[in-house]
Amino acid sequence: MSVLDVSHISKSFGNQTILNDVNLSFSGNKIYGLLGRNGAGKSTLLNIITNRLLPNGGKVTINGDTVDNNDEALSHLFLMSEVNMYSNGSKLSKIIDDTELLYGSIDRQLVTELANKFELDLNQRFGKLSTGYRSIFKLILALCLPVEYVLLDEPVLGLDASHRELFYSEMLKTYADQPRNFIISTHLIEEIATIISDVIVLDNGHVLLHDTAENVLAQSSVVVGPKADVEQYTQDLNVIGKESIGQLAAFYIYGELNDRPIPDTVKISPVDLQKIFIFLTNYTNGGNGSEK
Amino acid sequence: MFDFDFNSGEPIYRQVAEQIEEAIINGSFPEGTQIPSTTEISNQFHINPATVLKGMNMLVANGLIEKKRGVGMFVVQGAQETVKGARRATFFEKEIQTLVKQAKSLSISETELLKMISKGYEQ
Amino acid sequence: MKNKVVSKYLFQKHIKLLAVAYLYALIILVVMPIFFAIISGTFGTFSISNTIENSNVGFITTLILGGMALLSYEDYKFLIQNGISRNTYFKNQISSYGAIILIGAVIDELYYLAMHFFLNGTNFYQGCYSDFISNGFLNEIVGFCYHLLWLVAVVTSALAVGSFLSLFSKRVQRLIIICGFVAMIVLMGIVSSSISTIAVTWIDDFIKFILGYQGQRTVTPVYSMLFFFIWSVIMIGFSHIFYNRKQIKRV
Repeated sequence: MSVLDVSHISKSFGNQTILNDVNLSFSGNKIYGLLGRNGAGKSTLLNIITNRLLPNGGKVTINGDTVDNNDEALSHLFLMSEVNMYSNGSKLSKIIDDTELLYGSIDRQLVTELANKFELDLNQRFGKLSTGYRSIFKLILALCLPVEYVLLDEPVLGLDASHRELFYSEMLKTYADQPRNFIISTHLIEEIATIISDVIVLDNGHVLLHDTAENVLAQSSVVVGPKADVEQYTQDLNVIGKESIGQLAAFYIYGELNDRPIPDTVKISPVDLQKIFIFLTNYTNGGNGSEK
Repeated sequence: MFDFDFNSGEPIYRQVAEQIEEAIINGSFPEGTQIPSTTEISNQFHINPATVLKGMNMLVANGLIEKKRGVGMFVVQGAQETVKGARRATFFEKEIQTLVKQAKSLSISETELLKMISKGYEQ
Repeated sequence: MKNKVVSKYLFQKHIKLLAVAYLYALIILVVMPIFFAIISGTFGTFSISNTIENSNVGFITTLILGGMALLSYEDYKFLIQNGISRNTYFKNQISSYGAIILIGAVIDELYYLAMHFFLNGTNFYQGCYSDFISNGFLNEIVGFCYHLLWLVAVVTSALAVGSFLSLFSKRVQRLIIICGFVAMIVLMGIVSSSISTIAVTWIDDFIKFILGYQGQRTVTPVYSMLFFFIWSVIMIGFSHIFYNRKQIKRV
């Protein structure tokens, strides 16, 4: 089984540290969600994995082989990102031909099928496409190439709601047909919450959380009730966020609940991924922080 | 058809299982017929196939559906009764207790509540 | 392992560019003058042979190849997007340009031979070193090699400069280019204003040595050729360093 390892990766631009000793491992043909606030270092990490940026320290390997200057390792990766890597004057059909030449193969039938579904005319020049259609074209390539790791950096940027729906469906279809690893970086957590099986949260250049989505959800809960009772109950718990209106309070917990009996007045419910993410990466509103 | 609530924080695989159970109870998936494949459910509702599979495996373990090699998942004979039985077993703690708790908070007496229940049956 | 496909990709791209560039050169240097002669009514006195003779194809080839070799960031972006490493890009960039230079040199040679026999024209090499080897055929072969090495030196320099510039953002690139120009003008000013100083004599002597001056005339192209060769090797070395530092700029 193929393993992509990121070990001790650090990167800074000037005196600004973007990534600080990042360690991650990807394998098992899973769909990973790479979450983080703007500037958390998601794009930088994906670019380092694909050897487009050179790290200041650490290394990225696939099955033990470095990706640095290594065609064989790089041929297992495809990164789709906002940065335009294609020249504006090139026809889409020509880009597809050249991509096929360089990767060795591409699923032509699927390219045609997806182009039809998204109503993308492949005789156009890349420069003539709108932002949304540039994303669509790059996504089509990403889904049709024989790579083991598909890296998508903000994949649905500029896509309208129905194209986003279509993309997620088609992605899951190709995933079922040909299981491989997807690493999706996005700020639209709600849309991918049910698609991903693993969650990675990057925060300020380091890995804050790396677990299965199921574990993350199982670890999270919200305690709602009269403020005094909620405070009493959550005393020694890991409170990651607090909300209150008047005397009604909601405390968000990450981690085990205790065995103490739950007071009649409070209610404990599960929390969705988006909420967990917001509280985990929002320091001003954290455990000891202020309340809204 | 299926009615997922992805924001509820309720584990998705359990929601998948519950939704299929629901469809078995109301007869949308009759006994002996094939239910949608993991891939179909995954594509249509944008759920990770592993999650869907986990939900389905729960139903297999509970004896509600069975796998026919190379064909797909089928509702077993008697599944409807099994689901109903299982739901009956948890009916008290899941539904009645909540109902009574709410009635109490609204100061509805036991007699009044019973009267309402009788009325509900008559409708 | 990807060498074959990458060299194929780059060569196809470069040969197309070369053809288009020659086409433009032909239009600008031959077709347009004819066109203007016709509309201005001076076609009667217009000489096509003169136009052709005055078109310095060797110089045009040098410009085209040098210009092409300056631009490498677009190809880099496309190749790294498709899993091709910087090193593989560099190696095949060199081999592709090797082939392109050969084609350019052959075109220049054919042009020279045609011009020489029909119009009695000449080129830089024949102008300077026609007596180098008494056998005209052998001397022409050396002349071809001379031009080839010249093109190699220009292209490798362009590869080095282009890849050096591509390490920086557009703004810094502009700054470097402007500073480079200013520095060159200042340097030339110093050189020309102090024509009798020892330093300039030294430069003068060096250039004469490279060009193969003996007495008052150029005699041997060997030093120039050696110089082009060593220069190219150094430039390839620099290019290699710069290519290996290429990164995507805006993330």
